[in-house]
Amino acid sequence: MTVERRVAALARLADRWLDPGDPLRREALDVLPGECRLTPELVAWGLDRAFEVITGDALRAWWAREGQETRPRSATGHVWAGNVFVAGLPPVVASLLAGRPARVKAPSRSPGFAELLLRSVELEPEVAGLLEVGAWARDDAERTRALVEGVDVLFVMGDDGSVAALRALSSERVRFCGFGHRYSVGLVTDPAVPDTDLDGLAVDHLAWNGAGCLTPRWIFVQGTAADAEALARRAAARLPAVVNGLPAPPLSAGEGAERAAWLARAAFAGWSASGPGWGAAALPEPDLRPAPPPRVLCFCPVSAPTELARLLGPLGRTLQGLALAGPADEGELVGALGCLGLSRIAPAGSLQRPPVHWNHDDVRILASCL
Amino acid sequence: MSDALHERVQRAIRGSTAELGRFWEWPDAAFELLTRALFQHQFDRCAPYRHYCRVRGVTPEELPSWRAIPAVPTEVFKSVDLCAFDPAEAAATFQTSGTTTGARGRLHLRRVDTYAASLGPWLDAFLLPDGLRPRVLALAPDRRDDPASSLSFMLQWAVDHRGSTGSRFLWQDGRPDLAGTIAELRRCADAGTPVLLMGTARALEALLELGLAGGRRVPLPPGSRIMETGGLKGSDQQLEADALRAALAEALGLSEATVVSEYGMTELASQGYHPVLRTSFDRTARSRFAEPSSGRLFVFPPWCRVRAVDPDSLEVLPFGERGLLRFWDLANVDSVLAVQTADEGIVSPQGVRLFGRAVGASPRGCSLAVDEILGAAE
Repeated sequence: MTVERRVAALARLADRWLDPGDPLRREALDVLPGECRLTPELVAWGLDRAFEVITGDALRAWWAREGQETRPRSATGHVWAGNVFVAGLPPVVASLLAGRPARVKAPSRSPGFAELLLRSVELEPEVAGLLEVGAWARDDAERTRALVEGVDVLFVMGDDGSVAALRALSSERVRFCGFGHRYSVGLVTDPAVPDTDLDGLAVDHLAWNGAGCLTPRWIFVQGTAADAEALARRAAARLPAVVNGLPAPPLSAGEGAERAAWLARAAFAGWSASGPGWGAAALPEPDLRPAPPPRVLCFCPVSAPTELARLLGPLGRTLQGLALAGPADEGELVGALGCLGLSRIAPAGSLQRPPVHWNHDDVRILASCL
Repeated sequence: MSDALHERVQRAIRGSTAELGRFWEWPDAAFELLTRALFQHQFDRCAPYRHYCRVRGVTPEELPSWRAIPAVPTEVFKSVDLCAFDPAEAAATFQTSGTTTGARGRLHLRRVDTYAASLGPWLDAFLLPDGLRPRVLALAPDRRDDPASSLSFMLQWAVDHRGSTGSRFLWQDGRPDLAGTIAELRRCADAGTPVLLMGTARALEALLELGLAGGRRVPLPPGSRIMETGGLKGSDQQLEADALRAALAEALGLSEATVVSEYGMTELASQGYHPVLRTSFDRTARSRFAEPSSGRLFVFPPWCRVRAVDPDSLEVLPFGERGLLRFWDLANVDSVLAVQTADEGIVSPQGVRLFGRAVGASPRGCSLAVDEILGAAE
């Protein structure tokens, strides 16, 4: 089986997922909102972003960069977690691209996407049979151990504790790639950025209901507190249109209470007129704690981008991405923030659209499968 | 100074009589008038609250209605002194228990008489509607032992002003004096002295499980009654409130209609009560509260309005819809009168059906729990 045939199969599979009339996609839109506590619009958005980057060209380029023909080896293992249901997709695609069987452990409470993905893989003869899917609870040690012992590469998504537990369970012969929980930020280097940048920051935040590792938790504004507040006001005024495209499920009462308490300390707090599930707020200074609740675009002033390294230092190497609005020297940003774990800088509105070959946490995903 | 406002509020409370048609509800105009005066005072004298209101674009000059007064979340009482005077001059400062986060919310009172003026008539209306003066037994520390407890203040008032001779607190070494309570209950039973037993749900639960364990009963004389408050949050034995009421009634030989739940919080000067006892003495109350035993219905005084708000938008919801409870308490003269709670409920013209503290954070996805990381680093 040549790589080119697998590339074509995976590209066809992605096209199918992007087709609004495809039965599996339609089933996903029925099943996943309830499982993942997302609206159908957010699920559709997530599917589109995950599969639109899986093109023939992108896969060929990825293979050219990291791939090599290898003799058949044992399976890769994949432990998925949480409601960002496509987070574990790239390593599975990498495994299938390399022609290696992939065994996925899906969360017991949200197995839907993994099961639907399996069915779509089975429709492509070139990769059919390469994917196995099971769903069980994390405390089912026997099944988890069987998975870990049966693979020689293991990709694990989850909170740091779960990742550490699986790392401890893995023998030395297993290549372990753990992806713990992370946070992202936005950076506005010019308070006079166009409205489209504000819309982009809103989309980056709204995706995954404000709870993804690439969700900008704070949007730092290079300027004064007044600049941050002015941007928050502009963002609040523009939110309705963005929210209409990515509506959120209703807040629970507990979430609402938490958010109300947090908003009480903001210098400005405004809601989207047509989508009260989202809001924009400004803090007079960049306090990290308590962290803004999900679904609040939180604007804070910062004197200079390099100041972020000191400010975010207490969070350790857990910074995932940065959404950038306005001119900046990206090399300088990487130099300043690389020590915090930063592995992705993207223009506002594109942070949540990583390419399939993204070196998540600096891990070369495809190369790890070979 | 707010003395004139205190007098106005107390006068209005004294006027809340059935004869004036103001017992259950005040006319909107009367409530609005007093609310505006209090809001002006709190806006003028409490700098953090003034800032809070300005951020939200609300000032006394541009206030469409009492509903628009910015409500402060109870959480904020933990970090900010919300008072319209120097807190160093407080006649009393009540603090929350801090059981959830460790931080304690504070309510500073410049004068305690308005607080007492609010609690007294409503306690009478729902715990002593027959005018009885029972032996009050309080399963809590007294005011001297715990001056920061608003509950102790309330119980002290009941012991001092409504209790017959021998009324007392039964608390020792930081816990309910269960042996003393049982002995006192027995004495009252033998003497035919009606009792008003007051305490937190946890204290009463302890009385049931330790003091009255093994099916021991102490049937109390007719007229006896119980007030429980505070819910069972954090308790090991999660007896539902209704089950607790039934068990208490059984153990003390009382009808369940004599076990009254109270709902109050440190940040509010006023309290709500379940109307079950009131309805057995008052025909108009019986028709007003058609099914008082269903759910956890609490009735607040007319000087303390409550509405549910939408968790998403924080907009006031129509009666009958479930949301977070928000209070406008006119007895909060020198604090802030509008308080946003994290409690869930449904509000109707009859009162509040309480569901307890709203819980349930959203799934976090793969986003870092920032507060946990920063908390661990401290």
